[in-house]
Amino acid sequence: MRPTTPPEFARELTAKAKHLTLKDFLQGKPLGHPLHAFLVHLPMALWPTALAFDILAYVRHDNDLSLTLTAWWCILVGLITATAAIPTGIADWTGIRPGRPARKLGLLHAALNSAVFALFIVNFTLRGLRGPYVPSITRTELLLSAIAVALLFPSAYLGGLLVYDHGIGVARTSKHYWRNVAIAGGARVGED
Amino acid sequence: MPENPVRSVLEGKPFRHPLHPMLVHFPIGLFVISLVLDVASYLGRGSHALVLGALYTMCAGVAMGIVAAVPGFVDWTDIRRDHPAKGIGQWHMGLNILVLLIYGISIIARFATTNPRRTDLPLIFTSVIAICVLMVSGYLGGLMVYDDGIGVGRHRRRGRAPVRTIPLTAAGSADGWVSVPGAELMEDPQTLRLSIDGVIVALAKADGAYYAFQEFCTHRYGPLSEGCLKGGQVTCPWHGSLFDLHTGKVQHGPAKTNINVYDVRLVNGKVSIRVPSDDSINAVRRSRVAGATQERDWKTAAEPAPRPARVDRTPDTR
Ligand code: FES
Repeated sequence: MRPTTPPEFARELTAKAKHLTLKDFLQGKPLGHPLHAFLVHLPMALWPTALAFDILAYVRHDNDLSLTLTAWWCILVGLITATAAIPTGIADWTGIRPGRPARKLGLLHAALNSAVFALFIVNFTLRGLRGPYVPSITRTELLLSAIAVALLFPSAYLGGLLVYDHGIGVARTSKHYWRNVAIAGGARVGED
Repeated sequence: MPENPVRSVLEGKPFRHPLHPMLVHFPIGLFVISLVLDVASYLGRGSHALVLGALYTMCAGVAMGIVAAVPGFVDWTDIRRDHPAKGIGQWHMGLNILVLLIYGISIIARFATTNPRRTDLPLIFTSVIAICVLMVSGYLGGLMVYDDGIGVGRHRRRGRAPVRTIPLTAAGSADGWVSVPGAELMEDPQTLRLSIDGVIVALAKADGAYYAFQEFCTHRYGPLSEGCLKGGQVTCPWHGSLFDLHTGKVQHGPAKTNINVYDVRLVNGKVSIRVPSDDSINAVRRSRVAGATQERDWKTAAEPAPRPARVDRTPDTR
């Protein structure tokens, strides 16, 4: 029977935790959900949030530490989780068969993300040099955030297209379940 | 019937990407950073700025959560009623509402706290619990995409997809033809999902013709009834395999195996379908049990090439 409730999912996950390779792990096979898509939520949300707080801090000019400090933490946590997301993204990319258009799209996604990552490293270093408890930001820092986020959005969108337009990672773990449903439904199926 | 433009935007069709998964990054990320700031205020030397930052991000998270709920709900209404993801979606929705409620209460409680430099421990624990619930819920949301392909390739669909599976039987008919009630009223394009004595069949009307074919793609078994119908071909919504609906042949991959197509006829304005009496369910099962590597197909026995499962609409002679 296929799990539909959280306790049933938990039981299935523990059963699956045995025999897995590093690539399986990075692709999120034991989880039944691509790990990359799970991790990227954080940088994807936190870096634009950092930009929003940067803009507020820059426009309001009232030395409100809560704005700059929040942005600082957003960038930091974004960098940490983005670092974790890199190997998982590479693992997913190597799973795309050569010659499929998604492969090129994946490369572009990776290139843009690298640029965003590098920009936020520079940005964070600049802020770190002044110390996080400085209640104002410089124009350079604001610009760095803005450019990086302007690159992040198209890049994340490409990542989304890989899933929703090209189906990368879709039915990677559920294909055995669906195969049985298809056979039970009288469908013609190929070799497993 | 042209599709409702508001619905089509909420489903993200113009973007080739559903809106809900784009928006949910924000509540997830904002709730996590809010907890990080809370913990930083509690563990560090204490800072009113951190406490405020946690509150700001939490409020933004609730706001974005509410925004994300709208396309999320629309996506849910789009799932076929008897699909397993319909139930997962209900859990996902319920847990998300719970998370938003917890954060709503937490925000109110924060205005009543006394210590301006440190977030109270009970409030931090509240956030930890909410994030645990959110993780479970987000995981279920991810399963709907990666296991069931909800929203995947939906933007390519042209016409209405089936809202449920219609059970039919060939038991009462002497010649094996099963009439499909209401099929003559189908829009163009539209697809129905039928279960004829357990055989799952997609019945499509497109470009003025009816087609019947197996529901499951032969690649990773994506739902062909939710595919794109064009020029007598169907594109699988998941990874884009293309099948010819007259012969069932793969036009291009990733699928390698042809699909079954079934005969359709239009008599006296009634649509009926014939699923071969050599029960293909048992044929496939038998070949599996026998350990045969070659798949069995009821069509290959009948030479010449299978009849196109196509009925042209009677030309309007008025
Ligand atoms: S499931 Fe149909 S193309 Fe992959």
